[in-house]
Amino acid sequence: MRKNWQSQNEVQLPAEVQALFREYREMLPDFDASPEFMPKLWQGIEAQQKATYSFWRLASGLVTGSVALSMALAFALWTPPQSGTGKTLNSASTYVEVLAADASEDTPDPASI
Amino acid sequence: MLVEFELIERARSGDSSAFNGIVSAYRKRIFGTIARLIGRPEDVEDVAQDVFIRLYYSLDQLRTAEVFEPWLYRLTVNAAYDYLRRQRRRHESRLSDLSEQQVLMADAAAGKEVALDQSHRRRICEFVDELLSSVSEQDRILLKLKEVEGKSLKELEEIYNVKENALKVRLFRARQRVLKAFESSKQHGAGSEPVVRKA
Repeated sequence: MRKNWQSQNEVQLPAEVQALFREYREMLPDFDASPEFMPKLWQGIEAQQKATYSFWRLASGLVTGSVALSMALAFALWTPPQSGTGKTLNSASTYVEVLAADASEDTPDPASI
Repeated sequence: MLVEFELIERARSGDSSAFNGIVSAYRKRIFGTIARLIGRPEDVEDVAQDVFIRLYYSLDQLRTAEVFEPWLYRLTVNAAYDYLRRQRRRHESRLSDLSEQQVLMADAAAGKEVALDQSHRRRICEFVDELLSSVSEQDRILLKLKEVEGKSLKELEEIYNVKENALKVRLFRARQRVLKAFESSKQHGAGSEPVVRKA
């Protein structure tokens, strides 16, 4: 079975077609480039280099611009934390101290009534 | 190998005179291969420019200098394939611009032109191109590399970077189609195929 498959895959084109291909090969032999080939090649390489360089410059410009814009926006929108009456509560304050501070703000002074 | 490994290494490290040396060593061979793959000598230089520009920018991806030749042929095959695909698109858009009657007239004119052309060379080229038009661009290139360029299966394996069996299957199918086209050309236009000179 495998041998049959292999022999099927090794089927060659008829001699007539093979000769046709051979003649086609002879009709299109290897040939050399025109004198402008090398200068044109380097022009192409440099043009592509310029295009790549411009792209990277544009991309890095855009990245720098967007970082600067983000920082400016962050600065403009930043507001310092509001402390209400100016009293700041530190994390070390106990529950009772916080409650007392709140109560003293809300409860009017009995002397002033 | 047409060049020393050392020259390839130098070109890889950015030495432009080494790159010039590689181009000078291979361009004649690459020109011939492209001419046979695309079948249009007038466009060979443009495709070759594309090949060598691709080579310049992909040299740093080359694993070792030993695989340089198959690598260069792979770039050539890819550039030829891209060219053939572009040509087909151009041809299709040209035909789609014409009315049906204009297409018929164009076909008739082309037929007349072929009939009038007495050049044996031209007839052979046209006949081979006609036979190969029965297969896809990819298979056409593969078949040309095998039958016209005379590349071995081992070389093709390196160029295409695929297993030998996969190549054999593709070659088998492509050959079958070409054979069918050849038989049908023999039946429909008896005597239309050019007489091939004995090797």
